[in-house]
Amino acid sequence: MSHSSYQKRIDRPAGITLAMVIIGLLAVCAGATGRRFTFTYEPETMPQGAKEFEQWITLRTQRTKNVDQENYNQWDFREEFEYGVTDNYQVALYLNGRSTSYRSKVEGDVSDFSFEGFSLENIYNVLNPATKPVGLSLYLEGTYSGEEAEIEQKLIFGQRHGDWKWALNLTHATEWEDNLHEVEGELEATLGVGRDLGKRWCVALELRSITKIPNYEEFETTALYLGPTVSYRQDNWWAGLSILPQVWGRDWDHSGDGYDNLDLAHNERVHIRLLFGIDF
Amino acid sequence: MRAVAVCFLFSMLAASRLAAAEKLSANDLAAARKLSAVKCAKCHKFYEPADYSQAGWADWMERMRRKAKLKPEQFDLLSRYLEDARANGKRVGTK
Repeated sequence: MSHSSYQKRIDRPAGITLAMVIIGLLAVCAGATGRRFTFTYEPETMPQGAKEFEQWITLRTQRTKNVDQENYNQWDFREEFEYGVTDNYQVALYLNGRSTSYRSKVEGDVSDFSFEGFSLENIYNVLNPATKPVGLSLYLEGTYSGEEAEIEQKLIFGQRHGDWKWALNLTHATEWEDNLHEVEGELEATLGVGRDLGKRWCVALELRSITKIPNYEEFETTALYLGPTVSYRQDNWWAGLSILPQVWGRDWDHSGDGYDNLDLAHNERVHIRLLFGIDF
Repeated sequence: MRAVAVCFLFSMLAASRLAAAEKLSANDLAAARKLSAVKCAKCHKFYEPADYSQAGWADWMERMRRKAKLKPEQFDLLSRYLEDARANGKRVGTK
């Protein structure tokens, strides 16, 4: 592939990507219940009647050329509209987009942007952490994009202890891919522990474990991520940033990524997530 | 003279608040505690009203009224309950 044609293929998705980022940033200026973690949900639900817009930007970066995916970057963009139906039940609608690029010996320089469909999220708070020893919420999310679909369930635990807060998510998801012909199971556990620094700032650590099971037959991959999260909140908006490097991984299908203690065939070396939220 | 008048006005306001707080029945108190757990302590750590000045507390109540989407009757009940705690130095943490 010539340099110019490579640039052309790169520029188009990059332009769309940039536009989505700018829309997200501009939205922040308009005017939230702050999240302390970006990968881990907390059990508290929104007050009845509350509305919020969230912009999600997630970068999953760096696999390995040993699996023909050199300089791998995947950007996920999600625009979320949340609404508090009751004090214990909230719903959210997501628009999902994805930009993927990498260098391949077989395919050349690959760059692709795709619309990943809509998601509908439901969270029901069963145990209020303010009155119970541990807070608990149930989470159900469905995603559909025409060719792919997913159903995700979570148990969300959490509690506050003075300025400290923790949350634990246990997640199971089923994905239908390839025009709904292929099925894959995913197990995930996420733990966040954070400390408020005054009324505005919170610093936290997040630990995330991901396991994928194609066709629910054999484990394909397990990866463990650990890293810091910083969040800031004002009366009407908030933001959070996480940088989670992979600290351990295993490709159970022996994909030949060349790493004994990391999986860079199905997972990336670093996950970075930036969230903005605004009340309206 | 003006200072005396201002002090008198504040005293009357404080007295009227206390009088209002005294009107909370046992049922109102139970409802206020429940409301406080759902609308306040669910979203953030519980800040004791007694640690704030009247003006400072009133400012936070107004900001939280909007954020927690409190209905007028909910705001009135919470205000009376928490102002009573603030004015009398009561600790009302929900746990």
